[in-house]
Formats: sequence, C-alpha cells, structure tokens
Amino acid sequence: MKPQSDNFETDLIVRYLQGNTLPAENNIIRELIENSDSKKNEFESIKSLWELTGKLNYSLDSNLWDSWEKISEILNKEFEKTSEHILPIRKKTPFNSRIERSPFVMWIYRFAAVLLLGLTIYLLTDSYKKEPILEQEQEISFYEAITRKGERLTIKFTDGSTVYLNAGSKLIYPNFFESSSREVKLVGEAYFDIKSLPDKPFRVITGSIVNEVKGTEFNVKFRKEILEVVVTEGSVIMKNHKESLTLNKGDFGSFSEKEGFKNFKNADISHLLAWKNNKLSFKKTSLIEAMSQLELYFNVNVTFKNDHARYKKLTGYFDAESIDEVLENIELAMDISIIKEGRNVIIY
Amino acid sequence: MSNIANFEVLIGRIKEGDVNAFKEFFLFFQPKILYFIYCYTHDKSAAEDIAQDVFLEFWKMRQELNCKLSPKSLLYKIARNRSINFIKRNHKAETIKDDDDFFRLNEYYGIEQKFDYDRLNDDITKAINKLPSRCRSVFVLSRYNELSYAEIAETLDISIQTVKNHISNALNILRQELSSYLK
Repeated sequence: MKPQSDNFETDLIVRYLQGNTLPAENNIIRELIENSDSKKNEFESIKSLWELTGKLNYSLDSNLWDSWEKISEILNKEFEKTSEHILPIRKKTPFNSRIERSPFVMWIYRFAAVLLLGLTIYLLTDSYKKEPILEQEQEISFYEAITRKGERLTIKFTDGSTVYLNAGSKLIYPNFFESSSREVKLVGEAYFDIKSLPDKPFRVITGSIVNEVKGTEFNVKFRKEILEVVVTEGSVIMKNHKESLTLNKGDFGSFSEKEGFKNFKNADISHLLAWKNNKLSFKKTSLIEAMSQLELYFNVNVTFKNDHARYKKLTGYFDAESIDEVLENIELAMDISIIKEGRNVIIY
Repeated sequence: MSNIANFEVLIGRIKEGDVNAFKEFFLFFQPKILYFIYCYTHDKSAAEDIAQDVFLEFWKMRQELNCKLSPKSLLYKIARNRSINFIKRNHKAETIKDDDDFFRLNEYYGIEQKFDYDRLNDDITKAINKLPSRCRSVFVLSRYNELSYAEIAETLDISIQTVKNHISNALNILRQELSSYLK
C-alpha cells in the first residue's frame, strides 16, 4: 500500500499538468517543490512523463471527413424516414409492409379461380340444360392457410370479413360458408375483423373451445394448449361442452385445461395486439418468452448461453421493422450481450 | 476543451437537432473516441465501425442530454459499452496484435525524424498496452481525451478515488516502461 499522501500529490500534479487546478492548489504545489528536493524530483518526473506520453500520435490513419460523410448519409436517410411518417398519405397500412406477397396473392388467385370455375360451370349447365337445375349440393372443401416463422397472411372472406394470421399459425376455412353459420379452425394466433351477420354467427374453433361472435373484432391466440382471447370491438362467447364465458370490449379471456375459463376485465390489451401493427410489446415478460416471440416474428433461432438472462424481465415497446434494431435495444435495456449471425441469435 | 469555443452552447444546439453542431462535435471527438475504442478492440476497422455507431447513438439520445450525466461521459460510456460488446462478441480477450498498423505518421516528418518518431510512438503504445485494462482506460481518458476525474468516474462507473488510484498506478508503470526516455 502506498501512503495516501503520495496519491494525493500525484493527483494534484496530474491535475496541474492538465490545467485543472485552482490557484490555491497551484500554491500548494509551488510550496511542495520549493521545500523539498524529493518532491521537486517527483514533480519533474511526472511532468516529463506527462509530456512524453503527450507526444503519442493517437489519431488513427483514417479519413475523418469520409467518416463524417457516412454518418451524415445515415442521418439524411433517417430524416426522410421521419418525414414519411408525418405525411398521412404515404402511411402504409400496417400489413402491407410485412406480408409475404406471394402466398397472399396466391390465395386471392385460388379464391378467384374457384369462384370463376364455379361460375363457368353454372353458366354452362344453365345454358345447355333447359330444365331447372336442382339446388346442387355444392361440396364443401377446406383450405389451410399456414404461416411459417416470419410470415404473415391476410385472408379476406367473401362475406367481407378479414383475418390477419400471425406467424407460425394455421387457419382452416371452407371454400364457402354454409347458410347457417361461419366456422373456421385456428391453431396459433390471428386477429379477426368479422362482418356482422345476425343470423350467421362466426365461430373460431380452437381445440375444445368454440369462440362465437356475431360481428366484432378480436384477437385469438391458441398456442401450447392455452387459449387467449382479446376483444377490441363487440363481444365474444367462449364455450366448451360444459361452460361458457362472455367477453366484452376490452376484456381479455383465457382458457386452459388446468385453469378453466378466466376473464381479466379492463386488461391492458395494447401489448397483446402490438403484433398487428408491426410492433413488439413486452410487459414484465421473461426474456425467454420475449425471445420465443422474436423467433416467430423474425424467423430466427435463439440460443441462451447465459442462464441468468433467461428470466430477466423485459418491458418495452419496439418497432418491429428490423430485428437488429430490436435486439440492440434489448441488449442495451437488459445489459446483456446479443450476437446475431444469419438466422442464429445467441445471448451471452 | 481547447478547440471547441463553447462546449455548452454546442451541446445545446445538438439537443435541438442542429446537424452542423453535431458535425463540429464529431470532427472534434471522433479521433479521440476512435483511439479510446481501439484501446479495447485493437482492431482498426472494427474501431471505425464502432465509432460510427457510437456517434449515431449519441445523436439518437441527444434529447436525453441533461445535467445528470455529462455529454462527454455519455459519449465515452456508449463507446465503452460498444467496445466491450464487441470483445465479447468476438470472443477476443484484449490481445494485442503484433502487426500493429495503427500508428501512421504525418507526412511532414522527414525520413530520419520519422524513424525516431516511429520508435517513440511504438514504445509509448507498447507501454500503454502493458497497463491493466481498467487502468489503461482511465489513463487514456485522462491523457488523450481530456476528461476530468469526475467524468471518468461517471463513464466507467467507478469512484473518483479509484480513478486517482488508477492514474497513479498508470504513471508508475509508464515511468518504468519508458525509463529510457526519461532523465
């Protein structure tokens, strides 16, 4: 251990050399030097060391102006981006930006093709058979809309309803709805915007539960045998063969075999619906859960090499435009280190 | 802050989103930040990339500039975090490359002078590299980045007393390493 005074003097001398001393402190130094040869030597030694190290040419052999050009380019781009947000005309509808074009277009085409075919057959039979056609039992066939990781799909039904299918989900729906009801099957997560038809209820079947509505907007998430329904407009009845639960606007209901039906009134639904607006929202979500959402959303594989990090709680609202940005923000907020190599994300 | 006439005013303008002010700030600090990052990464091109990110992040955070954390501390704090992340990411211990192409000479040094200067530069660099990493950061921030002890303490999340200890330790080591240049 060095004596404290030694440290004190060194500090004083360094600050003097930096020009960070007060006049009173300069006097102390002057006194020290004048009264003791050893102090004087110490001062001279530090001073010459200070001057010597000051000769270091620390500037990298890099072009400062080029570096500035790069930065200013990025700033300009960002500036354009923000002004784009201000102009309402150029606002993108939330889904356009994310939809994998081809499957979406493909479904529309398929739909159109089926309709056209039906119409053609109808016209042909109509013109050739003079006799009145029997009410033909049109065969119901089912479509499967499947989204993989990182994909989203918008499905428009002929009745004017729209379904937004989140990543890693499957929706089974008929080529046309029967006269008495409209039924679809869901595994995964989807947001339903259902056209109101009073005598033709819309049903979303998730495992053993039927979610019935007349006309409304709601989000259904059915993953790992847990069903979660959030109602943004109108009401939804969740029911199985024994019980039922009615959810109204703003309610958040859940069902699992273990815990049965639950209704959380006045739930904060915004973070449950963030995905629909290309946002990711977490509320005291464990990092492992948040990362599994990211895996789905961006089609990446997350590995934890830091066990401690798994259960850290994450709260935040992210623009889900770029995974790099989201990861960077999580990294900063959680004080962890995240590495992304291609589709692999590793947490240290 | 010898080259920037009024630092407070400049920061004020940056806070309001004045790109010209940010440019001035960038041109003044970039070489210093670059060297600071280099002391962690020992990788020139990585240091340049990190420096770019650091300034962009600082710009993004401009509205949060307040009296709590000095702007300089904030800047160096970002630089330090990014550098440490880089090291972790690349699983690199802070090893030092032998083929150090870092230091280049300004053109106006004559050939002979250049030789001497080169050697001095190398020796100082080597001596600084021999400092323990924390100690090196403190010394570099103090000697080449003109941060006050309070700002260094803020940047590295350590106490002012610890900063003083590191400085004193650094001087002792450097004095031994560079003894041939000292009387």
